[in-house]
Amino acid sequence: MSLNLKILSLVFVLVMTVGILLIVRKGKMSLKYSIVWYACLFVLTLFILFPDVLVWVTKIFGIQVSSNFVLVFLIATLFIICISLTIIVSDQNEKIRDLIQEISILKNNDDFLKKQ
Amino acid sequence: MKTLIIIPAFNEESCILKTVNDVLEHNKKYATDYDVIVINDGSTDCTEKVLTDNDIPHICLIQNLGIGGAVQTGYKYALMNNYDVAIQFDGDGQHDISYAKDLIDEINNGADMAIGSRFVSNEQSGFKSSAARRVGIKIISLFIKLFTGKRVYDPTSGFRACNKTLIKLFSKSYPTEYPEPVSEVTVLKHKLKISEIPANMYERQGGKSSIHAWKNVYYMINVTLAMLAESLKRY
Repeated sequence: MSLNLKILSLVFVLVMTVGILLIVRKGKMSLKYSIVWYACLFVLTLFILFPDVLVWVTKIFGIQVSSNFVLVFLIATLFIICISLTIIVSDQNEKIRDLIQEISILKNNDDFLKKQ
Repeated sequence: MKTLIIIPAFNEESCILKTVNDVLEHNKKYATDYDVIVINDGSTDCTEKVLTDNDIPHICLIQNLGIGGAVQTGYKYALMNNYDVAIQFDGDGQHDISYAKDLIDEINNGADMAIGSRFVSNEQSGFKSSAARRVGIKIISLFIKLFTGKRVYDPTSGFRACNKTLIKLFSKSYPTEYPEPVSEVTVLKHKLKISEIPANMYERQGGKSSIHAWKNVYYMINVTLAMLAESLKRY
């Protein structure tokens, strides 16, 4: 791994870390969901600082080139994150539907009482 | 039997009043006491104004939920107010309220769900829908048989009565997409009884079907998948 690439990667990790931190601080992302991204960044940092680890893991998986392993690893990770996001969205859909129904029924009761 | 007629309405300003009045007139004429609740599913036309001006009992959903969410609101209302039977009834004048009595009789005879069906007997129903749609209904019926082992002849009929067990069940969970066939799979999977009785239906008097002609194939695939998913659910 060339020094240039190392520095560039570290800068990327740093920018992402600070970026996510700012988003969380603004309250646009809950801490719960930011942890996944921090975990990703942590693994990335590990690979940058100790490329030997990457070479070792690549060998274990029987992949010839480290960069291929990185790509496969990233795609798999994003896949899992996307699916869990879909699950979260579906769950929230259901909760929102329940809320709309309950509020609408309560509102109807309220109007009814006012009339009487 | 405390009975509630649930009428979901989305942009039905032209015929919702007549539909509700038909029910009220039927009440007067035959001394029945069906309560009516219209669920206004976030209509963008004057449906809400028509409902308010005519003092029709209704719930105005603060956001559009689609037919499944609207009907489920009716079931929740039925549960809260302790109704024995809830009857789903279309707002566009397709259904004939005089068959409600037959549906309630079926519930009294031990059915958990009674469906007003266009195809159950040879008796000519006034409106049997287009040939293409009839083929679609046959296919859906076949898949229900495949998934549950029971036959429902008119699975897409929106004219159905439910007993207290189902009111409770549907309040908790009701399919959002393609609710009619999918909810039948739910009922049969729970080993509950569906019975069908012949009911006359009319062509819709206004509004649009939620099933658009050019989306037919897409609709069939989706319905089948939704029913399959439902039949694989664990309870």
